[in-house]
Amino acid sequence: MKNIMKQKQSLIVMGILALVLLGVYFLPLTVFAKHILVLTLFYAFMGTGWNLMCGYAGRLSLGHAAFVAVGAYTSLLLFSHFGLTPWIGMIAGGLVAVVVMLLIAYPSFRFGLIGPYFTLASIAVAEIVHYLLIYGRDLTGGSLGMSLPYVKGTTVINSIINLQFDSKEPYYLVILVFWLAAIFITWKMERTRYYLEAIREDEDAAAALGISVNKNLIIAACISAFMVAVGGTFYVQYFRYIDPYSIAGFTLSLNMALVAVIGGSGTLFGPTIGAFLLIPLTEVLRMSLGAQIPGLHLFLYGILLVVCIIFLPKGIASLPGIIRAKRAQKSTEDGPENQASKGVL
Amino acid sequence: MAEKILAVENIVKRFGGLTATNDVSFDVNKGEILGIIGPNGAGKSTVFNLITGFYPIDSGSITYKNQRIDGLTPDKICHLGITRTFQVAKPFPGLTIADNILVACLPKAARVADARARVQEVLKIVSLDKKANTLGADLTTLERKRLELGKALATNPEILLLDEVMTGLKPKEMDDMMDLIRELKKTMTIVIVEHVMRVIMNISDRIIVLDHGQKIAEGLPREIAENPAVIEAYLGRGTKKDA
Repeated sequence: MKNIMKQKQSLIVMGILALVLLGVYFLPLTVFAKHILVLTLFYAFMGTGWNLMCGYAGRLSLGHAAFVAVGAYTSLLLFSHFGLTPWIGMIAGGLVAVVVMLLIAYPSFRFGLIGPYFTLASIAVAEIVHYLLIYGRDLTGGSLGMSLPYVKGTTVINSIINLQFDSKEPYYLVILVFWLAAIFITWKMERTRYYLEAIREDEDAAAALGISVNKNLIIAACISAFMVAVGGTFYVQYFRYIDPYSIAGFTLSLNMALVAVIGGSGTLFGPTIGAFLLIPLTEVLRMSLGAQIPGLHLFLYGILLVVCIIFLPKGIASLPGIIRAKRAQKSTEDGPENQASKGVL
Repeated sequence: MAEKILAVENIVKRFGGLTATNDVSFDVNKGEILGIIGPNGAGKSTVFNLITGFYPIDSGSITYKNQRIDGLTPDKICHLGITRTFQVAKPFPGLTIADNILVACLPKAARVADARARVQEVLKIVSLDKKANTLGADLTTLERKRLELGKALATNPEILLLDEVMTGLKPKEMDDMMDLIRELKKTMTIVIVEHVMRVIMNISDRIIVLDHGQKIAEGLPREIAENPAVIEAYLGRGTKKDA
């Protein structure tokens, strides 16, 4: 019974959040605030994609930037060489990312690469992609990176097709739709989510109950790679410039993981909560403190992470459950039986 | 004549130099309770791991309803109708009991809602309905054993393989578990590995005895209890020959 409620509640929360975020669109905000909002939703989207494989299935990847980079470079190259619309480019990029993921995921899952070993392998893969991008100078521009050829949007349709806008607002709407789609897809995969959780908790027990471990892991990994690759295309269109360090580097991989883990990995809204806490905080801290005492914003950011990990190891999304448990405990502790037992102790 | 549902023929399993299962053959008849006993390290659990595909067999064959199942993966074997429990119960610690059972119902359910509808029913069978929202990590030994059985039942097996479900239980709890197993026998075939002699002699229709990976005896519980080879395996050869 409780579960049916959970699934329906999630849908309602999803709807309310989407409406609120759409409402934000109409607020008269500064350009900086709008930029933070776009960035926040971007990380909420990326974290949600990351979460499917790394949160639900517990295969912690710190190399997801590899797939972001594959998506970003694929759509950018297709656009600058063939003028192909990024909308098709992002599908192509997503598919290439899926192929790359299959090459890595299949052997990893087949031969039971789990825990820290899987995480190390994922970092290695991202580094390989990073260096391939640097060495493929003729195609990728090497470490100098690549710029997105600017196309002046003469009509609205034209701007949409090229996914290039002169203001922040349209980008906000685009990433809002992406985020909503990612949440919806994750929500829709209810059965797979249960399977992944079971696999995360105990692979053998899951297999004994008729769950195909490898099949479900690979499905999750591929959808996860596809999502973050689409995010890569968005990154290109928004920043109009990418280089191997920013798009395939460890920082991006880490940020995706952080928003999910701090918010609550393996929960539907965890990555979104994490993004809405961490991203505005980083940006505001950097803007207000970065110039006066260099590094102070990172110091404060680090303290916050440590506090979160110590007090909320399962993420902010676990907070309501903890409060409920505390209350339940308190009410039983106040009962006469417990007072008696306390006396004995 | 009893209908043969599972045929294990000449299966061999080696781990390096150790032959864990050496040329073991036996049949399982539909609707019976087959007991498997033997001293520690006799290869009882290995036989379960071989039947359910957790280990590949080195030679021999396993046939279920006229279909070879050796070489299939554990999840496929479960789909065909053979489910096992683990000697050390494996609850999903981070999930609630209800979700543990739900996960077990899901693979054979057409829709998630169908699986959900069965959860309460399974919880009642194993008397865990009042614990539905407890996490798998927070269970007592008895509850873990019950959950392990509940998860296996949730998959609707035709053959249920029980690996030491009595271990760690008190005598009264064992009696309850035996009643439950007898009840289950009405709808499914059961193969049970057990150390507790009182239990195995009581509920088995037939018993096979393994020692050092080989089958040393097969028969009715009464015959097994009097079989010299079995007594020897359990108690040793006696001082004369050792000297």
